[in-house]
Amino acid sequence: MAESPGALLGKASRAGADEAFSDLVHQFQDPLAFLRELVQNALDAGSTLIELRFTHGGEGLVQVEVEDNGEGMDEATIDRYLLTLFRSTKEEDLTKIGKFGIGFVSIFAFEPELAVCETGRAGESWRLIFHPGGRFEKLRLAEPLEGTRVRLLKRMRPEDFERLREQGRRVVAYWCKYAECEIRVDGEPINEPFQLDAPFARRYTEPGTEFWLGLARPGPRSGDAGDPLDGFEARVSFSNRGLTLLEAGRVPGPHEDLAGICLVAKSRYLEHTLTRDNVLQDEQFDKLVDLVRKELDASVLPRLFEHMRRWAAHRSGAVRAPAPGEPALEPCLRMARLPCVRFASQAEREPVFPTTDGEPLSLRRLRRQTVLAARRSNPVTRLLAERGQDVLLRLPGLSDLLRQCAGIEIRSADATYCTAVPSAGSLKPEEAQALCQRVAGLASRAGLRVDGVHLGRLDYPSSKVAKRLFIRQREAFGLTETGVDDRPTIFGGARQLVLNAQHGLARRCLELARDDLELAALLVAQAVVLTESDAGSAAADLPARSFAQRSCEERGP
Amino acid sequence: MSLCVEAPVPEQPGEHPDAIVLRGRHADGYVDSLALALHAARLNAFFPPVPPLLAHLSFLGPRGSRGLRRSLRLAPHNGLPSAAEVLRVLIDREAARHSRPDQAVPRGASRLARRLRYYRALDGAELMPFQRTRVDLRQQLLEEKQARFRVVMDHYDPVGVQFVRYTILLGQEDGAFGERLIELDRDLAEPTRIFRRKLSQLGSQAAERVFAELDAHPALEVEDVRRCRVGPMLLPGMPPRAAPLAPLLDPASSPCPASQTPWVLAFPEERAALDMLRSADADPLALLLGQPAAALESPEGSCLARSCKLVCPQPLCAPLAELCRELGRPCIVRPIAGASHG
Repeated sequence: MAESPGALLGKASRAGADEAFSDLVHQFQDPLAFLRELVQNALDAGSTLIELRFTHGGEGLVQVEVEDNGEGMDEATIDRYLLTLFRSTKEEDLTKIGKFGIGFVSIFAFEPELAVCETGRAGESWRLIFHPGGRFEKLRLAEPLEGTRVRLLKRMRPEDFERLREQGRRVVAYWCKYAECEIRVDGEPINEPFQLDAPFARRYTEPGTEFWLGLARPGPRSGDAGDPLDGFEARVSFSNRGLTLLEAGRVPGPHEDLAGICLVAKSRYLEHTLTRDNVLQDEQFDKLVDLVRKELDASVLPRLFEHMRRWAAHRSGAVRAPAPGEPALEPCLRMARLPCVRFASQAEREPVFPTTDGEPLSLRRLRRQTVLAARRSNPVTRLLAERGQDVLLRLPGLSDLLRQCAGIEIRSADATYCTAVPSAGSLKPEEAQALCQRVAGLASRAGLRVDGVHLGRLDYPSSKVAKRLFIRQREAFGLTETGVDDRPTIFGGARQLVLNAQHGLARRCLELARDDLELAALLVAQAVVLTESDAGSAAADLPARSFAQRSCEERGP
Repeated sequence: MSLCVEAPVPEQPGEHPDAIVLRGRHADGYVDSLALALHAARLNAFFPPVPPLLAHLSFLGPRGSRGLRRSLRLAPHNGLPSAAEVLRVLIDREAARHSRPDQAVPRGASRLARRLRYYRALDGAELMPFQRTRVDLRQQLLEEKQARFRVVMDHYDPVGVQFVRYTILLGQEDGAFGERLIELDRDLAEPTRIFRRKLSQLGSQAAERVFAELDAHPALEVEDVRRCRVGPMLLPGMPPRAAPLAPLLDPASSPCPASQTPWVLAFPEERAALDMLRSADADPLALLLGQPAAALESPEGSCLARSCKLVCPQPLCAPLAELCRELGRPCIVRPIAGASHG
C-alpha cells in the first residue's frame, strides 16, 4: 500500500498538503535535527537504551540508524499518530517531551534516498518504507520486533560520511547528554552525569523537576566592560527528561536578576518551541524560574556568604579561624559582584570583609566610616586599630565590589598614613641619643622647627616611606598622616623628626658617629635641611644652603 | 550455570515444602545467570527498573550475603528466589540502618566481620522496594474539572513471587461522587492512602482486572493499564514435565552443553487499553508450559494485548524461537551475553 505525503497531513487536498509537508520539513534548518527528534520519540516511548549507528556500506551508501527498546508501535499508533502530522499521542501530556506530532517528519530534512521504520508491539510488527518526498509503504512482518528502529539511507562520499558521523555524534551529545536513558553512538555512551561543576552548587528536586544550581566560576576576562558576566563561566541548560531544550549563558527572558547563575535543570513541565531552538517561556517555565530564584536565595547565596564569612574570619587579624577550603576569598569577592548575588541587599549585615587587625566587617559597618584598606597588617594598621579605625584587608576585587555594589570608595591606609619603628641602628642607645640631640640642635640653628629627633626604621611591610631619610611626626613613632603632618615645618608640619636608620646616608652617618659624632651629626643635619628645602618652597632654600655652607666653613678643611 | 538442586528441605517456617534449594557455588551461579539475563533482556521503562533489581539480587546467595547464608531457596512454581529470600534483604537493610555505622569492621572472616561488611554494603544500596507508587500529572482539564495522571507502581508480588511494574493512565474527575484517590496540589500529585491500599490489593492481578477494578470507581476513568513482570524462570525439573518446553530444559536432550544448565527467563507484558484496535495474545508462556492460554477478556470498551520476551543461554535461542513460532506465538528471544556460570 503506497501513500503520498498528503496522507501524512490527513484529508487535506494533495497539492496543498504536499506544499505544507515541504514547508514543515524545511523548518528543520539542521538536517541532523532528526537525531534529536528520534531520540525524543524513543524517550517518550519508555526506552531505556537508544543506539545510534553510522555505517558506510558499499557503493557509497551510508546508513544512519536509530534503534530503541521502547514500547514500539502497533498499527493503530502508526496510522493515527506517526503518519498523521500535528497529531500526537502526547498532546498536552506533561509526562512526554514531544507535543506537536511533527518530530518524525524531520527525517526528510536529511534528504534520505530511503527511510525504513521497523517497529513492533504486542506481537504486531511493521515495516514502513519512506521514499523521497514522503511517499511511503506499510508492510506487516511475520517476525516479532521490539522497540523501533529507523534507518536512513543516502549516498555519500567517504569524507562526507566521516564529517556526518562526527557532526552526528556532536549533535546527539549536545541534545541528549543528560537523557534519562543510556544513549550510545556507534557503541559508545554519550551520557554525562546530571550534575554541575560550579561553586556552591546545590541540587534541588521535587516530583517532575530537578536542577543543580550554583554560581558562575570566575575566569579570564575578555575585556567587555559593559557585560557583567565578562570573565565568568556562566551557563544555563534546560531540558525535559534530560533532552536539552536550550543551553545558553543566561536565563532567557526578563530575568536579569539571575545573571551569573550556573544551572542545569530538567523538568517534565518544560517544552521547546515549535522551531526547537529555544525553551518555551510559558507559565511552566516561569514556575521553574521562580523555584530557581527561591533556591538561590534559600540555599546558594547563604552558602556563599557563609563561606565568605569563614574566609573573612580566617584572614582577619583578630580571629584567625581555620581556612574553609575552595574557593578562596578572592574568587568569592569576584562572584559577589554577579548580578544574581545582589550583594548590596543580601550581604548588608554579613561580616564578610576581613580586616588586617580586627574582626571581619559587614557592609553596614563599612558605610559608617572612612574605609581604609591595606595589603597586610603592619605598624600603621596596628596604630589605626588602636585608634579604633578598621582597616580592611586589601584583596583583588575588593575595591570593585565595594564601588559597584555600595558606592564605597576605599583609601589605602599605607598611602594615607605612615609611621616609624624605634631602632638605634648600629649605635648604642646612648650614642643614638647623643647624635639625635646634636642633629636637633643643628637643625634648629638652620631654622627648622624641630622639637626632637629620633632614630627609627621606616621599612615596615608595605611602607610607602621606606626610602625616605626621615619623616615628621606629631608624636614620635605615632601615626603620621601623609601630606598633613609630614609637611615641611614652615608649612605647619609636625615637629618630631624620625631619622630612618636604614637609609643609606643615615647608615653611613651612624657608622661615622662612633668616631666623629659631630661630623656625623652635621652631615645628617645638612641632609635633613637640604631635604626640607627641596620639599619646601624656594624661600626655605636660601637659609638652608647658607647653613650648610657655614657649617662646612666652621669645621675647616 | 549448573544447578545442583537438592532434596526439598523446608528450612523456614511457612515456606513451601517443595522449595528448590541451591547451595554454595550453584546458588551464586544462579544469581549470576539471573543478573546476566536482566542485562540481556533490554527492558524498557514499563518493566521494573534493572539497576535496583541487580542491586537486590547482589545480596542473595552465599556470596551476596557475605557468607552469612549457605543456600538460596527458589519458589518451586516460578524458579525465582523465594519471597523469604527477597524480603530478607529488605529486612536486613533495615537492620543495617540501625546498626552502628562507626563500629569498626574486624579483620578476618568471623561471622561478626562478615555481618558488618554485609550491613555496610546494604546500607548504601538502592534496592527494589516492596511497594512504591509514583503519580505524575499528565494533563489538567480545568473546564472539565478533570485531571489525567500516570501512575507507576513498583511492587513485589508475594503471591506470584516476582517483581512487577504497573503503569496506569487514568483520569480523575474532581467533585465526582466518591472519595478522591489522588490529591493534586498545583502540579504535584500524590496518591491517597486509600489509593495506595487499593493498588496494593490489586498487586497480584492481571492488567485487565486492575483496569476493571479501578474503572469501577466513580471518580476514575481508566485509559490504559500495563503490567510487566520479571519471571517466571523456567528451570530443569520444574513441572509440568510434559510441556513442549520440557525437551529443551531437560539436560539430557537440551542443545546446551553438558556444563551448562538450560533455563529460560520470561518477561511477560499485558496491556488493557482503550486506544488499541483489537485484542491480541502473543504470549507463548502458557502454551510453552502446556497450559491453556487465558481467555482474552478485556473490560468493556478496551482491548487486551499480551506478549512476552524470553532470555536464555545462546544454544537454546533458536530452538526456543522456533517452538514459539510453531505454537503460533512468535516472540523475542534474547541470548545472554558470555558464558554461563558453572
